[in-house]
Amino acid sequence: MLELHTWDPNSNSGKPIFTLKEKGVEFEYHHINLLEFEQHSPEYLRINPSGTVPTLIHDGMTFTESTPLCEYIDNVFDGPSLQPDDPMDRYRMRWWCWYIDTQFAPALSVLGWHSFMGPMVRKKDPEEIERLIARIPTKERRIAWSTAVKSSFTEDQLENARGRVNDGIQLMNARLAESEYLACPTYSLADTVAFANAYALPVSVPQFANREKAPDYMAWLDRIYKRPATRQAFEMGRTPLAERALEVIKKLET
Amino acid sequence: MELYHWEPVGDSAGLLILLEEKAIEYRGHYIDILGFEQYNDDHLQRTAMARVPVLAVEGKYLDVPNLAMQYLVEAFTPRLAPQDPRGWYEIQAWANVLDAGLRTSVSLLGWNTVMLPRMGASEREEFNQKYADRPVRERQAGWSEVFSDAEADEDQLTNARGRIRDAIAKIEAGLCDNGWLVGGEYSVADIHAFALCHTLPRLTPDIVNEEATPRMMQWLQNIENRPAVAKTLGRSRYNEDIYAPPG
Repeated sequence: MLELHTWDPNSNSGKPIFTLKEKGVEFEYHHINLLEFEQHSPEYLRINPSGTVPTLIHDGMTFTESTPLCEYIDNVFDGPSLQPDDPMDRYRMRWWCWYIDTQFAPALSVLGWHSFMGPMVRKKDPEEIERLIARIPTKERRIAWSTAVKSSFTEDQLENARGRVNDGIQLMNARLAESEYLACPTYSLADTVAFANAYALPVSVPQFANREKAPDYMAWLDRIYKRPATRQAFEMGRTPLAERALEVIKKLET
Repeated sequence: MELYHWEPVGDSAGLLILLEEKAIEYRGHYIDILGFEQYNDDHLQRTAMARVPVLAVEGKYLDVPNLAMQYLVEAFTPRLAPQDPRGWYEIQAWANVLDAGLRTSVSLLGWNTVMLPRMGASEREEFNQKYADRPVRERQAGWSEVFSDAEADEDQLTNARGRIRDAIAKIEAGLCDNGWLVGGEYSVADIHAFALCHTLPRLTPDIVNEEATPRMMQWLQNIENRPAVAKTLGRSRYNEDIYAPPG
């Protein structure tokens, strides 16, 4: 029995979806709508008291750390291996996951909230928003969500976030100039974690993510968009983000 | 193999203990953080972010300590971590909890409440000046790690205490089954946690003490009694607890 409670195939929510599709593992998909704050509902908090997505439940065991649970999926299920064998290559794979999770994604999420999540959520009644924020289980997350919903980022913060996202694109581009995939010559979880965060950058920051300034990064995106698992993952999405990704795939196929 | 490390506290302690427990031969190089040696050109060649510790293996520099520990688990026996997928997940999940909850908070609190008060006014001023001038500032583009001022304000200290309190509650609860964090056996998760919090009974006695966290106090004692750990802690050049400046 395998249940995945998560949002669309995007960022942390997307990591297990892409991983399970790559492995060819069947699972029960419970869509948690972040735009409706469903991850803070009493029902969801019973599954995962920290109110984060994703949550994977396998044989009665619960998994909530999004990158380690991808290693778990790869280790426990049959299907193509998504990790290199050599310990040093595995270090490199985990280094990229670490870099994306702790350095790149926080900067990207500032931009994502500012231009996408914030405007979507602000369509709600302000009192309803206050009520939804009040039930977030930890103070740190309440402050983060409050800032994000009100989009009270300063221009300095946005500029800093753009700079850091550009640095990340250049770092990936440099690595991908010498290797087809981030950790080793074949596709690994480093690519899953990076792609889940970086797949839409040609649309969200076209000034940095383009074929002139980051050709090897763009070629890597093409390669991953063309993987059957990638299409299957986006087909499960329910937001405009997934529709947009499917359009990219269609364009690449013609 | 070579290890560029500081005192047996925090991340340096984690790698020093793990190497000792696995009886791996290596050459150690002491980087004097309080003497700003991590900003020397030769160290910045190894790690652009001036990180300490750094594990050097076959010409590669591993500068994310928790991942360097995972590398040692997989590359050398005894493994000191479960083989089964669930146990391995728990090792990695603990690493995330420990790094997010304790790494920066313990150092920030220790630096501000223990180290700074030990300095005289002129020494403190001189340190703050050197800290402000450290070359890594220009290197931080693209990195979101905290590069705070040398001295924290009350809010930062309160937040650090809160994060420590939350992480300690998780450790105390995590020890409830059988005295170890993962799989009923001493593992790299215990080493990682011990490295980050073995000074807490003195730094935050209101949070870590016999009454509030009895299991953790026993666990600390059990780990300190291990020969590899006692030997590592005995290598300190100081007679009292010591903390790195933040950043």
